[in-house]
Amino acid sequence: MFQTGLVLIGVGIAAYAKGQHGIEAALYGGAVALANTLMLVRRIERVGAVVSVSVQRGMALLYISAVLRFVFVLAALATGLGFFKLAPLPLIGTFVGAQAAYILISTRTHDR
Amino acid sequence: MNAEMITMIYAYTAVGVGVILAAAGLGSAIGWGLICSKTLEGIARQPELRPTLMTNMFIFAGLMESFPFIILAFAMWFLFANPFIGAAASAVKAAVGS
Repeated sequence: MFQTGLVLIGVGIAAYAKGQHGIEAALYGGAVALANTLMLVRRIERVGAVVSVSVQRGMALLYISAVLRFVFVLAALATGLGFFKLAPLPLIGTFVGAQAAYILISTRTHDR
Repeated sequence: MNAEMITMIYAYTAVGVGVILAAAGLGSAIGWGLICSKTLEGIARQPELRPTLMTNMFIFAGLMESFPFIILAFAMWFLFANPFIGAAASAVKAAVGS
């Protein structure tokens, strides 16, 4: 929720600074970050269920998930920057902002 | 700015991106190793806490991976929309103009 809000703020800033191209790039970067988080959350839930049955299978799932997400982010960013030629600064800015927000929120949630 | 200069900038950027990705991979691997070893240590000390420790390990492993993704994003920026070409072109233009 907080991450989505931050993506929308990023889109707003990009729209103000770079116009139409900025909006597209910021939306793309935000969508990649949100998809990445969604994949992570779903995988943690799945691994949590599997690990109670088999720890080795759970760990294998976790490693596969890490590789899949890495490849997904790599391909998505390469496509956005290389193929669609989106503006790099709003794209990277929104992506990094959303990732940093996820780290901050998760750390604070677990501190309590 | 001539073709040779542009080629050199791309070549150096490629090397830089390689170093960046290697560092991100190394950091990620060290992070994974630390998280897993400490979890195993905790389980060995208090086996009854195993479910809690495992769940926390998954969550923090996911968190730890967010840093390499940020580094990856910057590496992709340098690779696919090289900002140094524009900066070099501006510098050359300024030098020629003055």
